[in-house]
Amino acid sequence: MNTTGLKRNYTPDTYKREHNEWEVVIGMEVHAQVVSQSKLFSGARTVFGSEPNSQASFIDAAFPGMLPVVNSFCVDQAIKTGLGLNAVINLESRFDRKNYFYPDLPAGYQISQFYSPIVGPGWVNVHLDELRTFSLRINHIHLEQDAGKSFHDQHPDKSYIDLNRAGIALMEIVTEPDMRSKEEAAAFLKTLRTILRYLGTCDGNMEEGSLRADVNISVRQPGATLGTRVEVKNINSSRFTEQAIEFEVFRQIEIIESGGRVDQETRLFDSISGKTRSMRSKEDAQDYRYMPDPDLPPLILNLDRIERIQNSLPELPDMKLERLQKDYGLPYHDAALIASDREIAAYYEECLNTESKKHEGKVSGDKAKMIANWFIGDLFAYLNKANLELKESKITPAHLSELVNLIYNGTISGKIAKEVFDLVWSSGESPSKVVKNQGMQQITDSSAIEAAIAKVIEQNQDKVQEYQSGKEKLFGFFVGQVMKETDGKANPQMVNEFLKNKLSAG
Amino acid sequence: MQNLPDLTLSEARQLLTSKKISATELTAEFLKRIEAKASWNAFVTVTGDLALAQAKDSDARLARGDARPLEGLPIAHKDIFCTKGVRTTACSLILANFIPPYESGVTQRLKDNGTVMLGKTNMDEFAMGSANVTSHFGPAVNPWKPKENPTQNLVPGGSSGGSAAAVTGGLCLGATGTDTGGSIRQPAAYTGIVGMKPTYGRCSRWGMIAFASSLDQAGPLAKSVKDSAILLKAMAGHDSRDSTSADMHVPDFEQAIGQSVKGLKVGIPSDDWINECNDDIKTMTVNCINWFKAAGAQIFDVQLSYAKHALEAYYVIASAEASTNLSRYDGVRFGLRAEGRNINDIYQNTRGEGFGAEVRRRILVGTYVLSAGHMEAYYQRARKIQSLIKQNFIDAFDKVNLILMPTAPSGAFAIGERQDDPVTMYLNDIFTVPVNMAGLPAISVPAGIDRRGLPLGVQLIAPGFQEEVLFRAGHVIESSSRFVSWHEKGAIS
Amino acid sequence: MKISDRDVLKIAGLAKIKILSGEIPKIAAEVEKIIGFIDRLNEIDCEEVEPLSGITVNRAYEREDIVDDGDYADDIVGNAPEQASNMFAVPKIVE
Repeated sequence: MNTTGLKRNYTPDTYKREHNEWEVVIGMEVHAQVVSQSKLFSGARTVFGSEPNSQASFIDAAFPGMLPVVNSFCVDQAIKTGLGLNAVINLESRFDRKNYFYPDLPAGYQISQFYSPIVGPGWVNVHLDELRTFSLRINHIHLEQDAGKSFHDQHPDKSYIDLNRAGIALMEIVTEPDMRSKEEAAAFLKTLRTILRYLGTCDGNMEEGSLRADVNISVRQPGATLGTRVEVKNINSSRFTEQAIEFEVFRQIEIIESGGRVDQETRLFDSISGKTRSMRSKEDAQDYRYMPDPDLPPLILNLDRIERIQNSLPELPDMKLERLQKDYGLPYHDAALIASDREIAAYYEECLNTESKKHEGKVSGDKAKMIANWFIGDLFAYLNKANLELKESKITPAHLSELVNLIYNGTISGKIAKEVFDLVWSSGESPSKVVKNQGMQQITDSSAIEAAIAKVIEQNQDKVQEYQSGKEKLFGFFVGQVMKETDGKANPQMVNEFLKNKLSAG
Repeated sequence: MQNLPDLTLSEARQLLTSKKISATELTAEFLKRIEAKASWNAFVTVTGDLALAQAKDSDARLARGDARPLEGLPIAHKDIFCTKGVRTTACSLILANFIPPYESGVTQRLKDNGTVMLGKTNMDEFAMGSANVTSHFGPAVNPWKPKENPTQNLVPGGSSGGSAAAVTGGLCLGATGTDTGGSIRQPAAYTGIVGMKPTYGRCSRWGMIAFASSLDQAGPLAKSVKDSAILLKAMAGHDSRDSTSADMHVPDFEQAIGQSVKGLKVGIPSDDWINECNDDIKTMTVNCINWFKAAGAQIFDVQLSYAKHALEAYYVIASAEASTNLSRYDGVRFGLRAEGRNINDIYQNTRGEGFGAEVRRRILVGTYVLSAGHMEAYYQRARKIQSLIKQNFIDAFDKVNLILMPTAPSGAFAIGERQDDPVTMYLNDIFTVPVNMAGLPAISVPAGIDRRGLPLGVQLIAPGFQEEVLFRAGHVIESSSRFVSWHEKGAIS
Repeated sequence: MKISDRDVLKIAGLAKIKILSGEIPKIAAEVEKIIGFIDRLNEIDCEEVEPLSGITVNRAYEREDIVDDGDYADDIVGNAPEQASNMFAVPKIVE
């Protein structure tokens, strides 16, 4: 796993036209809001949805004489993100001012890192599915301030500005133009989101705007030099990323094939129409007049700090996916689903932990798979139906592990287990307690099973005759009757075995 | 008893602690005098009620033996320091009605030390100027008059011209100023007082309206070197709200007063550009050298060849920083808003009308040097020259303990003079700017009178954080020159 | 460096400073004079010199991630020329 360049183990699809074949080239600039208590340069809160300007400080509002002081934790978060993306951490970085006027940018400049960012080149592996993987290069990551929010819909001819968001730390994660399809772009965004959530450096909440992407799109004939790129701004979901790319690819191919040239410009994506529209072209491109921020001396990091953060990194999704497959024999689909979210993975691994504690540190592949089935199959279905989050579930990892053990050691059958699951779900009581209280233990007492069989045979002499004269299909009927007689609690293997003996013995 | 406005700060401190006068009495006297001398336009806001209330509190503290170091001493603040609840304008129309809801780091320290604030002093708009003529509230007037033309109004220097006029004219015991390219030292020289520009990082910039952040530094304007030392001790200190504030011990500067300069190595720049000053200034410099020799100091030649270009590099860096620092004055959150049909009109009209000609000019120059294609040629180049200037000083300080040169190429000039073109005005700063470019401490001490009977100042420069040597050596100049204050000289009363 | 009227309008546009058309030639001349003055920097060979960064403090002080500011929306909008519901108000912005 020391991939450093662009690699993929498959050939991406191209767009075939009557005469030409087109390839799309995609790069991204992802803005990820950093998880922190206070802002990048002020001590104001970072909570979403507070009362207007209640979490704006005089610094955030750029009052005269106010000065920025960098938040150490935000710096740590950027380092952590860099390490999570296999990137170089720059021991010296600087903050610069990006100058432009907009009412939600109080100082008239954004403090960013233009000349020397905190994180240098890195890379990330992205899985499209079980078989297709590609790796993508990160150009750099820099820290910067978010702007405030403008509301254009609260008054017929006014815009209102709230600075609660102004100054919250953002990481801008800039990729190389290494993606070759909308599918890859969407998969990268998902992977990145998963990694950031694993690291705890960004909550990845796309609806609240915690993660948004500017997507650079160009088309070319395979092997040709890069085409003119168009930047589509502020896309906040994987689905919209795909839509925007799809729209742009067709628009750009259309232009070129009809003899035109693609303008280098910035476009906006309209999520209702699924189209992009021009925002500004290169001609009236902003001159941001970047300059080092004289209020902030260089940010100097030492190796101890980086090492401490390196040691605090959790197992990342890629590693987890591999380990779940290798150590427990989970199929790719299950492992990928579990590894796709830190909370889901933590829940599952907690089940395995409980299991391992009970069994001298060992978890059998069977049980791991059974737990995965109950988790992904049953628990997810219940959560979906009830519209609940995993953390709201009354069924704990210990419960799930216990349930699987009750099945595994024959205390209950799989069928009864579904009922037990339902009761644990609603009551939050442990599966063994439910089984005990409801008398749901499986009957493994052979005399009890034999008595039930004898009773069923007694009552169905005609069917016994039919069976014995060759109508073997009836066997299922007898099993059903015995289970009914034992309230479904008889051990199914024993029922099968005893019934076979009894019926064939005549 | 001595006329109260003639007192130095340390004399007044003595009289207050020995209860010979009260803070209320002293404050009322200054307020009366500020009113009487309103024509100097030294103050843009007088906070009489607040001052008297503070004085009353000081008297109570003095009475119960709970006095703070500067208890009851009336001073003034340059209108660049944000003062909570008191209008702070940077003498710009764009901020003419701004009332800060916070107190700057420097004024807070002075307040906590017990000083009484008389009001806010006039200055060049956003500290951009060398004559206090760019103020939205009109020029401040130098209390000194040329002997051949006693009705002529001279500039008090700039940008801290109001503070300088107020101190020399006995309107307060001392005042705060800021120095980006000479704005404390040059007005001090023009008005015959002591101006101290501390090491960059010595005083907090928090709550001080920014002009050029990497160069701006607060410091005191005072009647004597000792007063300057007392005030700086109170103003200085680390402020974790300012990332460029130095976490350095602040010595008791007053202790340096009266210490011998025997054996002290004084460097005199031998470069040609140092001669770009008038003969009176040259004579003053020679006198200073002789006084130092007489006091046992040793004199050495030093070279500051790159400092010749400090002014050009300064105008690139200061204008660039100013152009972005002043972007926040946009008519949206505070200050002036001019009418406009859309946001862009509001920006353009507010900033077009709200900033004066000099400020607009510097913003335009700053925008130009940072704009696409020019950043490398101007800004980066200026930063490189700044490195060379800093190295010049480092090399010089290998040989000497301090450097002596004039504060300004001439004495004060008449209001309205040197305004034919901006560059002529900029040349006033030729000797002060190199110090800011290197972040060093420097003091301007009155050292002579020119042929017009106007004060001249000499500048002493020390390595970073060695302000003590400046107070020590400054006091030697002060005692040797037997310079008399404006009031004692009776230039006007 | 020659500064044309167009240059002045361009930088004034970037700086958002309205300049009356009558003032343009005067301002162009003044800016040109200043730029001419600072062009003297080109007399110095400084190819190999590192630009100065950070005058006395050479390392950013980092503060702890603690919430210790905010909750004074009234003060934030207290100096505003126009506000509504504790937000700043400007003419509607059309994107």
